[in-house]
Amino acid sequence: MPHVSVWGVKPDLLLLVVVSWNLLRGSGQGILWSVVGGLSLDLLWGGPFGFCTIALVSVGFLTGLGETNVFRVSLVLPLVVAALATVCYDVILLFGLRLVGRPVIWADALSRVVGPSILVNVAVMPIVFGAMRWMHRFTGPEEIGW
Amino acid sequence: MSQSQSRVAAIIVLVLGIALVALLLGPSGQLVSVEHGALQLFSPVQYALTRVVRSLDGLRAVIKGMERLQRENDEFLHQIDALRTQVEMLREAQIENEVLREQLGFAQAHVSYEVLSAEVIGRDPSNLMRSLIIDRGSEEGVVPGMPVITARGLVGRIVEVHKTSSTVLLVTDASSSISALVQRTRATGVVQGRMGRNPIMRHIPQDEPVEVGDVILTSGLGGSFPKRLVIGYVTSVTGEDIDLSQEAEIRPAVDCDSLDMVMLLLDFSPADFGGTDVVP
Repeated sequence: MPHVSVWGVKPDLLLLVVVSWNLLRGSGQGILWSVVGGLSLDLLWGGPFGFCTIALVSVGFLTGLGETNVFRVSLVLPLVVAALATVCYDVILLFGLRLVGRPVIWADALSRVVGPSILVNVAVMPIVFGAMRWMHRFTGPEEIGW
Repeated sequence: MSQSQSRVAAIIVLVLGIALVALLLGPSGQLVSVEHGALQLFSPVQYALTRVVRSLDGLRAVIKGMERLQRENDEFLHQIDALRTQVEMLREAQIENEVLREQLGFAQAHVSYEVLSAEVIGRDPSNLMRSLIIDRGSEEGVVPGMPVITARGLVGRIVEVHKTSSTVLLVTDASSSISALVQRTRATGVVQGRMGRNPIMRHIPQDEPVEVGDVILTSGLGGSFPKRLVIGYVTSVTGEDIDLSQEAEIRPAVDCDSLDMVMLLLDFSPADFGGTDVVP
């Protein structure tokens, strides 16, 4: 979404989708989304090929460890997870850029890119999580209500 | 003869009789008063009947008119839809025309350059890198290091080439570094991209005056880019008197977020480019 940017950053929609699905279904199912999404990003981004996949799979795996019914009804924890996932994702990508010799000024990157990305992703997460939760209910087994 | 038949016969005889009398007395004018009386008696009824018939005629005309209006309305709506589509197509053609005129104007002003137009087909999905994907590749003669421009100024350069597409590293990317000079004073420096911020021109000698609004051009030093391509405009200058050099923040001349078309300088070979090779 190149034309949708706040403070010069765009929401990481694929990251939010992967995080949401891993929260709802666990790492087992989420890994496939992480790999497919990561490969798609790797084809488009200008950095070293494979790092988007590594970053998304790592984030997805860590997120999926916390899969529990609590996430499905409360929105607070998905927002916190989205913020942490953004940091983890961007830091892995920055390490990838550094590894191939691209200049990375950490202060600039963290304050000017990662920080605003956290805010933007957290703001968009309710919409993405809501959509993924609907898809989870639509495609998954029925939950027993209390 | 039955009773009803005889009654009918009587009525016929009576009517014939009256008609015969009218026929005989009519020409002499003796029945004028009778005629007037009859007219006066029946004219209200006639008037009422005429009004009813006229109303019915009017109603029929209204209904027909409504049907005609409905048909015309439907036709006009179809025409409006078709015209709307045409308007949108013409708007798109106008925008494309303006872009191509700009490019043509640039090519005519810089006749020594052989330019190739390219369309932007993708952008970097991450917020950490600033790059574009264009629809020209090695098949069209694109090579790594080739400068990419628009009529407004420098966009960046090719870093990766595939058969039918290429990746452009923008001047705003953190790994972009361009030898530049201030147009007004010819002070030299290096324009470097930064993450999340406008590029900055570094290593400007302290004794060279730089002001807000100054135009920054490529200097051609090092051979990476041709001379005199507009990079951007100075928005702020920083540097203490005790420093050896000063720095200037640059607003890029080209808004890369809204780019649809760019141009490649085909006949410029960069002196040394450490980018990736052509990907088969």
